[in-house]
Amino acid sequence: MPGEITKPFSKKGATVINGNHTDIVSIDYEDKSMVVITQYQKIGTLVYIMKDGAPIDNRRPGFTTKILLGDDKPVTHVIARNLASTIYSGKPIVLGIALKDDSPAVMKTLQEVLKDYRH
Amino acid sequence: MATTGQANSVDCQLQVNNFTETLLDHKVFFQVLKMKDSFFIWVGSESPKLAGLAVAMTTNVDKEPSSASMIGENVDLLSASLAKKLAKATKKQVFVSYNFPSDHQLLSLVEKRLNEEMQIHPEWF
Repeated sequence: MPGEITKPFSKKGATVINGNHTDIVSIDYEDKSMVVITQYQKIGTLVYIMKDGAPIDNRRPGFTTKILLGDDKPVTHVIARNLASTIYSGKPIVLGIALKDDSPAVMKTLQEVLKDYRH
Repeated sequence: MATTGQANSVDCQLQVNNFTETLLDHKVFFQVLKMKDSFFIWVGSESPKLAGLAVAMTTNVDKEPSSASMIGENVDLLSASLAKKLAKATKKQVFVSYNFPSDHQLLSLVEKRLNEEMQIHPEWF
């Protein structure tokens, strides 16, 4: 049956941001979401993103980020937290991110693009 | 393709492929995400969880691939062991999430099934 092999459900696509081809894959697991955003066709840095238990500011959820693999650069945490606010669906996120350009403009574009990859 | 939703007009250069097999009365689901010089294999049940995650790759200093567990309550030995074997066979960086309880018979059947799939669809890995 064709319907049986669709698990776990995935969405994939690509876009061009500031001339850089960007591949995006989002996979929905029961307990976590996995999202890969890459301009190198590789996972790059893996970040684990959890929602904070008790947010300081109730209007905007806070996220805690932990680098699982790769460069532990401050900007990666910033990008991961911001993207999490778009893609968070109630489950921790495993984010693979590899960007050629980590400017705020790219991050904002990604926030918009990622709306299509929510499950 | 029914298994994936294509969201943009530019083609995604990563591939996602699924297959399934019944092994020891378990319905086993496989998903392969192919990337450049690397791939991610998820193996799990009908209710897909990402409980553990390990990575392995070959190095110049040791014949055995090097591995690391990144997610998992306990050290995720099964994912790491499978990742090492696949890294050794393919010489690629391999990510594995193996989501079944410790059962060496099942693990070896999963490995066998993955090897078969690599013969049938080498382009998926």
